[in-house]
Amino acid sequence: MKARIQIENLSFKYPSRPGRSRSYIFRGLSAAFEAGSSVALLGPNGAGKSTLLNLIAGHLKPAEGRALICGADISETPSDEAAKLISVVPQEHHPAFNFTAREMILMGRSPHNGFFGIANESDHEIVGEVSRKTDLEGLLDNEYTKLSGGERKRVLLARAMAQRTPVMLFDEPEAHLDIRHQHMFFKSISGLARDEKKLCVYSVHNPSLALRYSTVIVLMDACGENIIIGPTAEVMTCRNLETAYGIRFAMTREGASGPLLYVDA
Amino acid sequence: MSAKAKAWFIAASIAAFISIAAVSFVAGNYGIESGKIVSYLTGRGALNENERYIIFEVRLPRIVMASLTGAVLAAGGVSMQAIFRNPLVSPFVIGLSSGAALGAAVGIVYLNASAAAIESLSFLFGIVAVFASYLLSGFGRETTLLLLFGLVATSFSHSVIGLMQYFADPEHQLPALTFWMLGGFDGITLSSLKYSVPVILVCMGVLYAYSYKMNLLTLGDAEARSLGVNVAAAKFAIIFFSTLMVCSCVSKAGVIGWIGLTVPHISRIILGPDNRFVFVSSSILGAAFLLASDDLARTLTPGEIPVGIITSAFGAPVFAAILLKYRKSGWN
Repeated sequence: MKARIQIENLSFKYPSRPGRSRSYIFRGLSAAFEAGSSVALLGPNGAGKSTLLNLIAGHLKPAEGRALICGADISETPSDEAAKLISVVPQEHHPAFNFTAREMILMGRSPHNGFFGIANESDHEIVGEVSRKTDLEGLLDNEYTKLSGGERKRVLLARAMAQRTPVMLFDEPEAHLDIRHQHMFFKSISGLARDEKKLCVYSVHNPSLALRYSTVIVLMDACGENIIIGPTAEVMTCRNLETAYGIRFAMTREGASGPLLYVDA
Repeated sequence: MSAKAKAWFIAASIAAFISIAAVSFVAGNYGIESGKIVSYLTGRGALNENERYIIFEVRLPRIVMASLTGAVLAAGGVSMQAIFRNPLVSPFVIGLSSGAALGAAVGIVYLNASAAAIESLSFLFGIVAVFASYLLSGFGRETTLLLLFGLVATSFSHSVIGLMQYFADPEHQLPALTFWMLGGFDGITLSSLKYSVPVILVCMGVLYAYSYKMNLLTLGDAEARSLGVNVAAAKFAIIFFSTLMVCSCVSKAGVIGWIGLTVPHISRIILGPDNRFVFVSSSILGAAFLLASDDLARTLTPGEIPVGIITSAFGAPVFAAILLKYRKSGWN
């Protein structure tokens, strides 16, 4: 199925939040993202990056409007059907029970298997394939909880890849990773979008990572009122970033792999 | 451990359970030789009326109920630990046992009720305590809140039970209440099992069907949902059926501690965390453990020791040993 996200006239109402003045966010937001894109949700803390990600994932219900994933209204789709359209790579975590890396990755096959989660030959082949792509082959029988942060993150990526969904969401993929692993992880995400025609959407804190690896940017300001959506080269200007984050930026054109972004405050 | 090795372990547990069950028919203060029972069963000998009564009317219902209760408490622990993502949870900590005890206390002290009425009261109060905690915590959305409301229900029930114990008649009511609070299978008859056995079997079947969803639920609600689980429905079904079956047992046998905590732990140490295996192995080991404890309860002394005392005497040190292992290796 060809990946596509359509956001139509979306508004979200927060349940009462003490100390916050606004209760509505994204008044009438509309956007469309296509297969092969690598979409960064960018903006300061509290702008609504996670909220938008959760609305697309169907974990939150919009007050108005809807998010269509491959044509299906995600908040009306039963979770077993939704899990065939969207996979989510969460932030790294410590589960209470010590499943092995293999068992964790196999769980990505559960939307395709029956109620009892019996894995067949092809499920095991898929686990082998995604663990090769994420460089986890030697670690499959280790306990997930005993892996390093970078390895755990790759297990979660492999699990989402095993889910074989057209749309893939990532919650702050750079969190808890050192700078080398951050770049390796974003390379994998870009590869999924470019080579496998997935539609990858992620929230991200570091604008440099978005500048380097994303094809589409959703830039939100601190109050979630002004949202700029467009191709990376158009949206990622120092002026737009200054408006969103409230600090000065500078950009040079000298980097080996494209423009470099600095904080110039 | 490979799937094959896990299957062998489960087969060995079943063999151990069957041996304990066989011993349970022979063990007891009324001596009946095992050879006599074997020759009766193979049609080569006869038992007198007393012996037939002891075996089929006294020992058989006890063996059935003690095995089922052990299986239910352990499997209930497995289920609750999965959805609350906490290996230290059991149906008792969300208010079930204390609610059920309160119901029994009301029946014993205030209503002078029959055994059947005491059973129904404790069943009802147990279910009410769990669902009160469940509803107050917003349908169990917040696990911490659910456990804390369980604590509130427990604490409240205990204060009321304490008051009743203070005013209870020390001749009849207090001993009945005390025995109930410590648990035991004294006086279980075949006819009293007519309804609870089918209820328990249905609940165990439904919960086992959910055992793979339990694996996914241990990762947290959002993650389970993105892996295709209907989280609200699965959580409700698991809480409902485990409460129903644990209440059916507690209302008959009283409060029997430690099985829901220790047996799943031991199963996980041996088999790993996959609930499709842990559920089965815990049920069998729980049945074997409680059956052996009940054998001790009715043979150690000429009278009868409440079985809860025996399960605690074994369960608490075993759990301490498990905790010491964690102190060395950390929780994960």
